[in-house]
Amino acid sequence: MSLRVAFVARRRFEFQVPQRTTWADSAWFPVADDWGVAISSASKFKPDVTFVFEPLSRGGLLTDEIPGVKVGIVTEQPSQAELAEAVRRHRSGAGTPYWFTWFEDPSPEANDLPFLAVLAAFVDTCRLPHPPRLEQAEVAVPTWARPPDMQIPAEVLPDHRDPLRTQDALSRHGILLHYAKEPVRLSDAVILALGHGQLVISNRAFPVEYGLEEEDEYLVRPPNEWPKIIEKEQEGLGYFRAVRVRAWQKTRELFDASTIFRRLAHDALVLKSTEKSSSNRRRR
Amino acid sequence: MTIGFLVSDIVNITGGVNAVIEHAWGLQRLGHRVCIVVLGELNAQPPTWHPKLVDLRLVSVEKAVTEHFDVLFATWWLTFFELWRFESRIYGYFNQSLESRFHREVKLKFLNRLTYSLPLLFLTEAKWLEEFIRLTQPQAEVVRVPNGLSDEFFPRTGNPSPRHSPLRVLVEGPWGFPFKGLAETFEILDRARGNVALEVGWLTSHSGGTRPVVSGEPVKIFEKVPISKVHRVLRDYDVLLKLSRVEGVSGPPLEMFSQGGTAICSVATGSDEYMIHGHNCLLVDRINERRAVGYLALLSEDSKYLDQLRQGAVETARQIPDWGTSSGALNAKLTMLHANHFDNSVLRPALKALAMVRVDGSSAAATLDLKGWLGRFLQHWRSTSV
Repeated sequence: MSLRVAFVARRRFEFQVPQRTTWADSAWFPVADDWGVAISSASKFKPDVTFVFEPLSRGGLLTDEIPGVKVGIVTEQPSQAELAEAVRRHRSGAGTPYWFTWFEDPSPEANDLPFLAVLAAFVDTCRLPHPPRLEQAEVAVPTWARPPDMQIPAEVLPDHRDPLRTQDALSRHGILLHYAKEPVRLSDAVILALGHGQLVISNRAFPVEYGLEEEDEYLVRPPNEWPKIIEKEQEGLGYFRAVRVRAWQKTRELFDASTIFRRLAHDALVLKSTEKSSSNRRRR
Repeated sequence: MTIGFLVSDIVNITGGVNAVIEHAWGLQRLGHRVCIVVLGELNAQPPTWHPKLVDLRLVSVEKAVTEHFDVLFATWWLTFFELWRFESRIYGYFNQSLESRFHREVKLKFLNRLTYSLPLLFLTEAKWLEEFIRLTQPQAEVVRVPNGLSDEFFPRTGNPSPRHSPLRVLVEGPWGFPFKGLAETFEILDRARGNVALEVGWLTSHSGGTRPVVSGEPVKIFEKVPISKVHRVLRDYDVLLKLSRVEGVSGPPLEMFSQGGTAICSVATGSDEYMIHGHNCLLVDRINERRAVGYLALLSEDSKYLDQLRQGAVETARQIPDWGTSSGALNAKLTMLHANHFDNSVLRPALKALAMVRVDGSSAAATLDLKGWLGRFLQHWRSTSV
């Protein structure tokens, strides 16, 4: 019998939910303001594993009624109240997901919740261009990642949570600029740009644990060098073609949602079946 | 055909040179005149780490420049810059990894990119490299021949032998290359050993004098083991732990599979070729490397699950063809190109020009101006050669 996997998530996570899974019979149950319909539909699907996005929200905590193993996908820092409620429910056995993934190392307050993995960045790569459009060289910059006094002509990507609009905007470009004062997590815009095979130019390196390789998959240069790099790319000689190809490939190798959820589903089922003790279910 | 492979050296044990030797030996067996051109020091006696070296003709640069090759392959990326020295009808590049990733220096990465700037005959073993080359150099002729698994040196085990208790974990890789992740691997083992009884070994071509200790216990080291004896080491372990981040297609996990062991490996380029999480191995991405600690505990505690993975591993190894099949596939491709009168000898002047860039680019004088000059060169080359 094939594995059945459900995804319970709002539409804003559309680009993180795999449209196709060759390894399981899967379905996405979009969440509206009322989680009830999605939970009811997911329950009827009788999944072996359900991935619940925003599991610490009020709606997320109601997914207990869905049969099978539940894995909560925590995508941003929960409030203290949400976290405290989840810990309380977990301790009392009132029902929280069997496992949680976190977008970064969970805070100490979350130590009592069963931890499965860090899930920092992921995207449904089958929605991205194949092959990459390597001839495009128009420049974009997210509104929150503009350097001070930027003079470079570039389309500014609005700060919104609509992945389709972000995708649509990015599809017209070939270069993404990214400025940050401090180390930052990979944003959806950066992952999508890499997955499009764009030349991502950042003023600072992304944390190495993400697995992105500086200079082979994106460039790290101070903003005063950006115009020269852009000019070279726009000349069309292909100086950075290899970098763009590798960015496009790396997104599929490391950040593909289907591949990542396959591993997580397997681990969740194996660990459930081995009936690990609560101590073993805590962070390793 | 007269076929040559250019190598930097033949003394050091590497998976890449092993693939060169296997292809050279296989093509020679099929009737071709094959030699390995050694750019480095060439001793009168061939190294002993690979038994097939005694059957192969190893020649110096001085000798090779007097020959006329039908096909001459660069191998390690720096050998690309030596191709121009030799006369050949087909200039090829046996490209087994994106070797710019071995270096941190931007200049070296830039020079490495040049090795994809001409439409050579590219031979590669990896799907991801085939895709990379086709996208980076669309005019190149690209041939993908998956590496074989030697029946002679890694005879497939029928069934996994009974597991060891405590769990035996083997680390593999040379010391001194950060992207191999060895320091992190021993740290993980140290952490795991706090909760789980483990016996740890290290198979390495180069320990650099390092003597790792895991939870106070020295790690058993197997250094510079001839390839014909490696399987004996592998058989003594249950799990290979390999957290290398840069690979073409990693060979050691497959060799471990052939001897009835499973593996815990990093998600790396090429790992999708034969590694399936939960079927024959367990995979960890870099941000979750510490999950390897949990996996070791799981495999130690759950022998049924360990056996399931080992069974999957043995089945995977059985499906991988021997080197004879790989060399046969390469022979078929080369024969077809020969029959079609494929000839890219016109690239020789461009190869020579790029070799000059290498000399300049390796020096402190390499600047963006040089890149500008190079850009004009490439533009000119593309406009006149297509």
